Amino acid sequence: MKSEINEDIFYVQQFIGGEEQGFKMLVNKYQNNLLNLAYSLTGYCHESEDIVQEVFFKVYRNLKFFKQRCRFSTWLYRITVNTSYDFLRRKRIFKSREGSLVDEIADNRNNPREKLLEKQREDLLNRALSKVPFKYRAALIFKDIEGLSYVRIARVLHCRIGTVESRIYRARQILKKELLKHKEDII
Amino acid sequence: MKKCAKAKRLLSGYLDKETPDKGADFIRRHLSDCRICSREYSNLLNIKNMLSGRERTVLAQDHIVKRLYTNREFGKRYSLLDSLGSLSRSFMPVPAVIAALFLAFVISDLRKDQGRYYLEDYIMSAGPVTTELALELILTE
Repeated sequence: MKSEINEDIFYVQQFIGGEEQGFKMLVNKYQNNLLNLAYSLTGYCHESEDIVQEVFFKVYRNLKFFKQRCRFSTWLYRITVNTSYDFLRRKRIFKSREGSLVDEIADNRNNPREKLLEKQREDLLNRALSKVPFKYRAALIFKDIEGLSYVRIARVLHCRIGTVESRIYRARQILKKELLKHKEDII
Repeated sequence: MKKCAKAKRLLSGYLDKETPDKGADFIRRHLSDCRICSREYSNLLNIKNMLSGRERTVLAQDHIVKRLYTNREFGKRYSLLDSLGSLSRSFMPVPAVIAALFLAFVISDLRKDQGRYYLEDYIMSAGPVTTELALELILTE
């Protein structure tokens, strides 16, 4: 973990020193994490790539102002959450949409039945997630998809650990309520 | 019932392994006794597994880098404009409009002065100066 942090700092310093390679390394390291995070937060597939691009655009312009008071990845996650929120606000739709990432994932499977089931499950999950308020959803995604600890989530979302815990709890309750409506389709 | 309420409160943290040992022991004991809480736990666990088991998309190496570097705007590291917030940016034209209005006022005032014929100018032109004409020129100044 420590070497990972040091690696980030090294790339950041490299970029501030004028070498573009440092920035490219950071983009390659975090592009998949941020893409999946943006997709989970928004429910939009192709737009998630645009969000990631916008995040790195902001990073490129403001990296020299990064004070290193927190981990680089924490800072990056925070920018992603804010950019995703802005995107949804622009769209004025807090719902997931058809034509999701599932289409691409499912295309890799040979079995049509498996493909269909996976798509159904993913669509249901997306629809249920879209019913969860953004603040709660972000906390839940950081915990269950990104696997961050409560402490780190609190740092990313600028709130207390107790708040993170209650947001995750509420998000799970809403999600459970939504998913239980379609119990037989999922389980 | 009191135990169930306490367990419900701690369940989410227990699921995430963020509950202190004392609380975790309590939950473990309670789950083995209470069927309702045990069902709640398995529901939450299912949701957690669904989310964590989601397929993750993997982009090709340099995919975002290529997208970034084909963008024309990309490459500008930082400009003064970036330091401004959206509110400041929306108010940016205000000083420019004030400056333009001030300039227009000054120019129009100068033009007015250019058209004016002062008493001194008239005397210098060596024309006949009557009292009536002098008064008129003084009063219009």
